[in-house]
Amino acid sequence: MEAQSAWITLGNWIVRQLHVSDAVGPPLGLFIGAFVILNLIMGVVTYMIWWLRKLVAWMQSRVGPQHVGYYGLLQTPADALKLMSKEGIIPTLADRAMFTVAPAIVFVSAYLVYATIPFTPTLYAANLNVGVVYVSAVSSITVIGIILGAWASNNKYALVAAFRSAAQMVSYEVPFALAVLGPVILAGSFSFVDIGMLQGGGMFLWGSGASGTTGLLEWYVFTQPIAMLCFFIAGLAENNVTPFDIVEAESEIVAGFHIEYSGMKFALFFLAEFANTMTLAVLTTLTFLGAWNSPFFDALWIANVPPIVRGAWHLGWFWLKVGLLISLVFSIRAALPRVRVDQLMNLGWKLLIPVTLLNLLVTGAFVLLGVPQIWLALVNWSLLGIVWALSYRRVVPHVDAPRVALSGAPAREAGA
Amino acid sequence: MSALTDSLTQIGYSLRSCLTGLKVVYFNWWKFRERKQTVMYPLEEIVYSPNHRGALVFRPERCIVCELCEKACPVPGTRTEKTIEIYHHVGATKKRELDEFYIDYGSCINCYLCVEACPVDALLPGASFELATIDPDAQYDRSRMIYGMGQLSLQPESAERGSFEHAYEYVPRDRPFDAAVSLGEDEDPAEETASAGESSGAASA
Repeated sequence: MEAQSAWITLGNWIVRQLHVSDAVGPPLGLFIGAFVILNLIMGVVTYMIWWLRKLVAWMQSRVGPQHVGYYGLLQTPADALKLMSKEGIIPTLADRAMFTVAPAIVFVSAYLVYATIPFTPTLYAANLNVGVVYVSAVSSITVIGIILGAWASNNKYALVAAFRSAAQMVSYEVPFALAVLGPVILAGSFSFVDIGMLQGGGMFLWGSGASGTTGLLEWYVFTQPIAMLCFFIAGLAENNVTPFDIVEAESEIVAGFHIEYSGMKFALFFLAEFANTMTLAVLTTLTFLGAWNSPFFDALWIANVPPIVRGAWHLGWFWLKVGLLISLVFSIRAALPRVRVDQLMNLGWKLLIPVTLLNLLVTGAFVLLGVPQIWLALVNWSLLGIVWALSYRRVVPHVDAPRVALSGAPAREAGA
Repeated sequence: MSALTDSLTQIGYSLRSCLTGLKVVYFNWWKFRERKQTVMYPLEEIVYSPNHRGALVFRPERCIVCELCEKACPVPGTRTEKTIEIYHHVGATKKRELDEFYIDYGSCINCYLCVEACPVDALLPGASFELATIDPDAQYDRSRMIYGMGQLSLQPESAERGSFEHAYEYVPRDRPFDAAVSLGEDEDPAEETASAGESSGAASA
């Protein structure tokens, strides 16, 4: 079923109300949608920052922002106002044009991703049939903005940090894209709308889901748990958030590539960083956690309610999952220490890429041979179970002396 | 095979360590009420241990005017050459009698050498530490930080506010926020406490 974008529907409705040309409708609706999504990103990011500060504070036995507004709710709007009113300093020897353009590039690439993101089956700007490719292509433009900004600011520390950031992001683009290919193979479509629709079975609907072949639960997290893990880790690394924030490394180096930026330009970098975190949560929700579908068996009644109710129900579940994932990212920020550069590279190239490639191979073979998806799920989960059981085999004595190939050191004997 | 199982062990151990870290922070969040470390200072304060060493408390009824504290004091004051100033006269019984005792908190470093020098325990470490807020004008005029007997005997003693049993527990603040109110010109501080300090001290200096 080819559903129509809600924004185009809105535009057509406005056209019918105002009696203007039909050609105006869809662009107008899409423009309104772009405006709404831009403001949505701003608002959500503002309160994501508040939630980050509050959550990490609670987890570290502090209280967090407290005094500006109820529970510090106005703290981040106040911070944003402060950043807006600050002087935008451009260093004398910086390349003014590039220095100004770079934050915009970073933010726009974070913003453009949302063109193909469906929040409900109809609430999207464009249902590209190459949505996944589009997202991974557009989100990697960020690297250009970072390199450009660092180079234009004529600061060697910024440049070094940008190189590190670029190396990290380019490395993790690969497992990021490879991991999402597992659900894409299962869904048989690159479109996020299709991938979301195919997970409509709910958590307790066995064997009669939209994808037909499934023998188990419909969400791709059940058939692709390893891919989801790799996707999430690669996404963390690509967004430069803890434990992979060696670019920023607040406690060691000064802010990384945006060291020369201040005021609103810095705010754009900051905004893009949190927008990318939100994008990670949104993409994980869409591809693995059943998108807008509730975990309950709602397919029986969901078709018979008014579209507004259906949309609200779907939106609620979507944002609930996104919120939980964002909270998970933030609590990882509170829990885990930073990795070293070599550990980061080893994790990406020696673990995530082989594992995601293998996952791609296995998933492709299963789909090609027409094996029911329950066997795929069983293979995945038993592999995870084996790894879990093996982790109890013996205690790893010291982090600085790893025995296995993860850090490049030669494997030591078991009894040693 | 050994290398593979070693790798898988390492991977599993890493994942499990991550979950352990997450478990710690989530448990901390769950127990936030008990584990909160922040004291919302102006709104609440913590009970001090009785051996807390805050601002000096002076007990004029014990003082024998031996001036050992003045001699022990290592810091020059803002107004005189010692942080401690003692004024006395010789009474009818040929004993020294105390007229006024000043400590210049603008320069006192709380080293307590005077406390150790005092043979009669007239000087003690007290509990108070909010000296800068007693007189709001003190930030413009350092001589207003010179406190006389009246203010010094007003400092709450450790034993009044502290206890070993309840040390470092949070209590809601039961004193007024603006300490100048309790020492201000409107109210006579001597009325609030039983001590005999009636000199206006540094407030008039």
